[in-house]
Amino acid sequence: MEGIKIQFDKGEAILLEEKVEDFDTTVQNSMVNIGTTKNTDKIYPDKGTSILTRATQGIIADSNEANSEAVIASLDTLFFVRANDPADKPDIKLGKVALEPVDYDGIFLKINASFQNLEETKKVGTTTLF
Amino acid sequence: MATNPDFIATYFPELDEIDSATLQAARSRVVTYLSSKYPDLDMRPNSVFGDLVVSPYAYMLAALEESHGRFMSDLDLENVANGTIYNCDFITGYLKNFAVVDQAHLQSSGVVRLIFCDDASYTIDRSTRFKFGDDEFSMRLPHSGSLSVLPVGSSTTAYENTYVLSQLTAKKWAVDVPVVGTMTTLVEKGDEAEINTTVTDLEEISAVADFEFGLPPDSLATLAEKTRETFYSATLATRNGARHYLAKEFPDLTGMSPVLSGDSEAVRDSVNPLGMASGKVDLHVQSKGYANVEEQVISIPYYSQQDAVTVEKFIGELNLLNPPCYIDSITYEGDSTIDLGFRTGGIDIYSQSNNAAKAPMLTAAYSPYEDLWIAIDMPKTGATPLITPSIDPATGDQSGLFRIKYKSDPMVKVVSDIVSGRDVSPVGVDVLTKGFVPIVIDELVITYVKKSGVTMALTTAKNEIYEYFRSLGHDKLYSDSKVIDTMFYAGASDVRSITCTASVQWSVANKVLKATTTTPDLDWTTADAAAITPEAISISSSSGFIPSYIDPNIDTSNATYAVLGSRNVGYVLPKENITFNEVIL
Repeated sequence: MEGIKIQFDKGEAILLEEKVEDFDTTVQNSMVNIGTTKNTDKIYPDKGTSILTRATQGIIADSNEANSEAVIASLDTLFFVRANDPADKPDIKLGKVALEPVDYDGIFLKINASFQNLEETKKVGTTTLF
Repeated sequence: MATNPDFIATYFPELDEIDSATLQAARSRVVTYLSSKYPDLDMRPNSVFGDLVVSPYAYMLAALEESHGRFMSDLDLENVANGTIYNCDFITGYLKNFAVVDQAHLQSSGVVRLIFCDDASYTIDRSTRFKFGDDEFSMRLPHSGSLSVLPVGSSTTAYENTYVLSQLTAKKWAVDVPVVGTMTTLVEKGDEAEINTTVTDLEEISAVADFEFGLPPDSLATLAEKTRETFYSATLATRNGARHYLAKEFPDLTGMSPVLSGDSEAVRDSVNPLGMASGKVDLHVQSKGYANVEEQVISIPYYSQQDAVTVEKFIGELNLLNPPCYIDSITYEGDSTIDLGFRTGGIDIYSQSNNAAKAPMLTAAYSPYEDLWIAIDMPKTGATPLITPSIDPATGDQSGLFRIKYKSDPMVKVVSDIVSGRDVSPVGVDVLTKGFVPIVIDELVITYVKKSGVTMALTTAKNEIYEYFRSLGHDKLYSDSKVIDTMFYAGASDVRSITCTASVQWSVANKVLKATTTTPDLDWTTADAAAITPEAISISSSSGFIPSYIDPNIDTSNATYAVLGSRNVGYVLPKENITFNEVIL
């Protein structure tokens, strides 16, 4: 499996000449899903999470709230991505999603994200700054 | 070079109209389709290619499929006839393939009356145009050549456009001619026209009844419906073919009922001397102009005696402009208060077929093949005649002027002439065009119940019931439910009964003459003795409004060939004959 690469840490530019492969495609799709607001895609109304919206609305007031939202977002991402994973490629199917808020100063929410495939042979982790 | 159609502008739905399930299904099919070529390309949601290429393409595919469905719906004339139309321009052009044109081009039609100041012969060129305001009409003649107008009493020539004058008043004679043209403003009964040429003695040109635009307002849906009916057959040789032909050529007909050999109402085929069913079709027609009221003043000769036999009657041919469906009144023009005994025995009207081979006896009734003769007793007070006949100084003949007020359908003769044209008349099939045989309702009594405090809209109910009966004609048959519904809408809470005093009118004449019988003007005594009075059929309730009757004397010397059934029954119900009877609980 291969797809066009997104460079998240430099303004989310789409790198048309670079690609992601295998489980990295699933990880990339999951990252996009976390940052996508729910009900913005008419084809898939349940694509995305609510964490970005709730953060910008000020609903996430403290670390407890952040943990709670992170768990919800991780489950939403896991279920959606897994539902659309190809059945004939088990090595790239999403098995686990972990979102761990590590810092919150009331303005910025910093979350560590990690992803593991269903066969538990691959694990990829990154952090995202909201 | 033709330009390709803009499907996005005409048939594509709005993007918001496409639901999620349809989009998902379309996206899934796109992925399946492309995966066969690009099995390793990530097209999942949230992937770059998936969100930025596949998902937009799913929208296009869904919209394209919806537009195709809409286009195919426009090709299905049943949908169009039901009012589901997506592209009017396409359908207008599409229907042209079936020789069906839109409202902008479909000819309007009507009948004009040419009134002359003399009873003579005239020729009117086929290129003559009649102008009502800015609208121009040409004559709709069934045969090639010009229009020949002949004096009263003349005989017409087959396959030629010959029309015989009828006396309208003491010094006017008229003939009715069908016309077609483009009408932007409704031409109403009585409107006068100008002519683009000069015709000697032609004094007036007026509309006999309201003209027909040719299409109701919802033109495309009705056109599609007519196309479905007319597309596969439009000849006079079959029942459906005849209906389709009439619907296509005469869109203002409200009733059309072909009666074929084998139908219970078909009696003409019984006269084949070989005993074989011959190809005969009776076309019963009724137009929106049905029961159009006409008045003519006719000169009728007076006979004190005939061959030394005392007669003392005004006897003559009833030369009416159109085949009458009901005679309202007959009065003496010099004094309308004189009781002539119309319908009380003072007047006899005789029906005689002028083409016994085609339309024997009462089969000619309500058709152009029926000649009518009238015999009016000289009204008297004691032994004193009340009318002094006029005397022609040149011949010594005596006569009187009588005003005949009657109802007719001006389209019966028009349709009869058109279908007898060489280009239309089917080979080997004898087509006879005529009106429906009416049940004349002298009184219709509707007994209803209303709750106290309710104000009944009886005037509205009367008008609706009148129009309902006026519109009836196969295949629109009478039903009590329509009258009951009208009463409910008028405020009634119940309808107890619908009773009537009615009778079948086999002809406007009360007696029938065989074709071989001498006419009353030559020998009234012999004619009256030989005349046959058709069986009287009375109807006292609405359950009798769809009767079934056939002359039991067919193929005998007393045969009248009277027949009545659902295919040929009509109704005459003057509005003033509708009465209401309220029951107070």
